[in-house]
Amino acid sequence: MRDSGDERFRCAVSGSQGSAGSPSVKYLTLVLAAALCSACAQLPDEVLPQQSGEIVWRRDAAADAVAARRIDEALAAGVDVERAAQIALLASPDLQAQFETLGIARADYLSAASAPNPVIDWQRRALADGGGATVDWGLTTQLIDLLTLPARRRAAAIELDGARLEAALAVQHLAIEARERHLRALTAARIAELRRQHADLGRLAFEVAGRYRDAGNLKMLDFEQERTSFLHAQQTADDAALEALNARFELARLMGVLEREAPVKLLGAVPALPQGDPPVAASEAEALRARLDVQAARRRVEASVARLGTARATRIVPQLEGGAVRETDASGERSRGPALALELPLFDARTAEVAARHAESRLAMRRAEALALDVRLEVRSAQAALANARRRAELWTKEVVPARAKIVDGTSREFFFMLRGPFDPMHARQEALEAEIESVAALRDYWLARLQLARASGDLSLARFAPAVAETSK
Amino acid sequence: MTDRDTLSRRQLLLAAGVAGAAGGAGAATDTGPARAPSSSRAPLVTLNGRSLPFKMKGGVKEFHLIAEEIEHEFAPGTRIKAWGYNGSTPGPTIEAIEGDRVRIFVTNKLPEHTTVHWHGILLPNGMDGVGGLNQPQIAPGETYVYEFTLRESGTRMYHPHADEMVQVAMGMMGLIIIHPRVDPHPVQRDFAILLHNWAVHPGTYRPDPSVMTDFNLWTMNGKVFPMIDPMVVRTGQRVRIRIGNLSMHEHPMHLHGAHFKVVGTDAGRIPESAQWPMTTSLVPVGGTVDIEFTASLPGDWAFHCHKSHHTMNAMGHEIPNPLGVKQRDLDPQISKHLPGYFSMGEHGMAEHQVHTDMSFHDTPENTLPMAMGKGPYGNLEMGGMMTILKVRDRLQSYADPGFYEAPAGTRARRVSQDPNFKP
Ligand SMILES: [Cu+2]
Repeated sequence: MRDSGDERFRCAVSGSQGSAGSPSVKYLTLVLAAALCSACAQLPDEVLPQQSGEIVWRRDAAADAVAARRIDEALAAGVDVERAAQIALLASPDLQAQFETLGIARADYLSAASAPNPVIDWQRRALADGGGATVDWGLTTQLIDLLTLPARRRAAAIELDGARLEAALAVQHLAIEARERHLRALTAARIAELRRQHADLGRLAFEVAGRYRDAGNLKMLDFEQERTSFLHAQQTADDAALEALNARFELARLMGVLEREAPVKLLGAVPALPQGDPPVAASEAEALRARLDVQAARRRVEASVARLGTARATRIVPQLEGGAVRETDASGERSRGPALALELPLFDARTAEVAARHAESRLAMRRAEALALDVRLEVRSAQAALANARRRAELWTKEVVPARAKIVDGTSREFFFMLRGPFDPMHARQEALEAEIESVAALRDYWLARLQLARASGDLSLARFAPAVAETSK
Repeated sequence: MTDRDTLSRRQLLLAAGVAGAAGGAGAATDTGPARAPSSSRAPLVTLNGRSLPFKMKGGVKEFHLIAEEIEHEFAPGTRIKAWGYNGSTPGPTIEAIEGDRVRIFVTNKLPEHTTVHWHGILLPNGMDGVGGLNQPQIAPGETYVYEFTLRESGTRMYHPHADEMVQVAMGMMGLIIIHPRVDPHPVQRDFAILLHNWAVHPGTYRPDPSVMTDFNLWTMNGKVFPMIDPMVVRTGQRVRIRIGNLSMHEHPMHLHGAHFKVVGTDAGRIPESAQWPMTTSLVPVGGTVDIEFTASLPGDWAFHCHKSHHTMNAMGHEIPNPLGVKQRDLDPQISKHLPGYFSMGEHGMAEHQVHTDMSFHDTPENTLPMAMGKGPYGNLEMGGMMTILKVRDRLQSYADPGFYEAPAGTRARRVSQDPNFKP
């Protein structure tokens, strides 16, 4: 993979290779895992496990067609969480747009890294009496620009590195967001299903109430109570179905396949609560090392420092034009020799320019510092959110749901002994379903918090879901 | 009296189920319950119970009651923490003879103070046992002694008169039977029953003393049908049933197969001129009723409280009435959400016992089916205050003889299955 060099997206996004990358690369593909590994070398292999997803910078119709075929295949197979990320990486126009900014950065780099163009100077001066003319030829170039070319090239390369890091970051974020959208769609679908069961129980309780009413054994008050409970449950179920539909649309939009007619076929189940959470200690420091935007900001600081160096170096001699001139005078006699034009920094000593570069580098530094604070904040609040989400998920999944199941069982037993009426076990089951809905939402929130932490810490291993939770309502 | 009537004491104990139920603190002493001065007096049978042993000390009968927390079982499937005496509720029956001087030690092993009131006995005021009024309460760990002379014969009771609401609800009670020195109205079978009600919410293990009227278990001597011993009698015998009531409800006790007279209360024998034949007698709260009759008809005769909810066990009383409600067709749909769900009671509640007997469903915690009991012809569909008077022409012992076999032509029989049958 590495030997195929700049054909690989890895090189285009990595920036740590020192290679400027080939501007002629049109089509960069890479196995996703490898891409992210080299993009941020400290990420473990399980960043996005096993499943290889291609990242394609589609720059022509042929590339689009190839990608479209793969997207069709993936959609037809059904979309689990891994495939959601793969499809997004292939199909998302947002990611393609990000890649195009990489193209612009590369163009900027090319222009900055080129040697100054030579200037040809031609003059013809005719004598007043018409007796011949003087012709001057000159070939000069900006010597200072030529001299500072290596320095400027270095700065531009660093800038390009930053752009590559940003592209890699976009890949990371897209992979995380695909997981998030998939999780939301999946949990919304599960909640809609539980709501449907809830409403179905409401309907049955209402029907049973109707039978009691028909037999003359239930007063209007109790009958209407069952009716309103049912209607409320039905409306709530409809709302949940709408939410599930929207969540699926949002997933399709994120993956970039919303225009397709077939609805996204969701696969998978709500992931269970994992054994433990990532350790809190040192995670901020790790985030500051791992996060690609932090690395990009660091590149920007380096580039601005390099540009400041150039500005300082050219302060004494801001402009130096050198070259050769040849003169042919009216008599046809030729003379030649070197030419030099020197700017004397008498009035404009480039102090403004140097000050501006100074300010630029300080700006880049302050922005990097500010970003570091944001990173710390994001990691801390994500850690806190995760801890809270775990407590909540444990409460619902380990305590409330089992307790509700016990209540359903006990109520059913008491109904069997005619200690309770028929509505009690049905209502108890409805309350158990409410608890299951809360537990699904709590698990979703846990994994959302974990994705938030993955984003905040730049540690994609946190975005890997645990195996599905066993569904209690069967 | 025929020789067959004088069964051995051991047989009697077995017949009364005493051998199995004994084991309280008082059971180990060497002397038995009061013996009749003449062999003609029938031994007292406390259904599912026993009599408290005593010792003679200087012409005084000494008894020892221990008030304590106990484990009690109404029937297999319900166990509670109750309070009682000498290991049981009701406590053992105290038997004595008119004119006896009795000394009764009362040791309190309860977590709160108690007293014993000797219900219906005329005695010195300081022995009457109303805590705070007649004596200081007996603190936990303390022993008090009561001593008095029994001036009258008849059926009496004992129970605390200290925190009575709680202690009676928890099961603290017992019977006192004072035999006449010479019984002018001898019987061959003499049974003693103490009625009680309990508020044991299904799934709990301790009676709820705050319940005032909504009791859910109705017992004779702490048991529910079919765990209540039958009363086994030979045809032609004179039978006495002594019924005390320390529950919070009156019970119209009804006997099949005989006409009886109420011959006594907790205040003694009723003059013959004031007795009249009956089949049902209301046993008042805090009172006793002695009935006597001749068992002239052989067979299995129900003896029960006529409040039909009192011959049932715990059930919901505020559930929607399922009678006549057509809902079976919804069961398959509902069982998708609640496995094993099935509706009950459309045609009546008799099917309920079929379901519970067959264990169609898991049973709830610590409660009994509302109806139990099996007879030779099917389910008895009762619980609570019900037992059977078993009258037989021949008996080897007073052990349960099994169910009566009606002679040919003396049992109701089916003659048609056509609903439009016209005789
Ligand atoms: Cu009754």
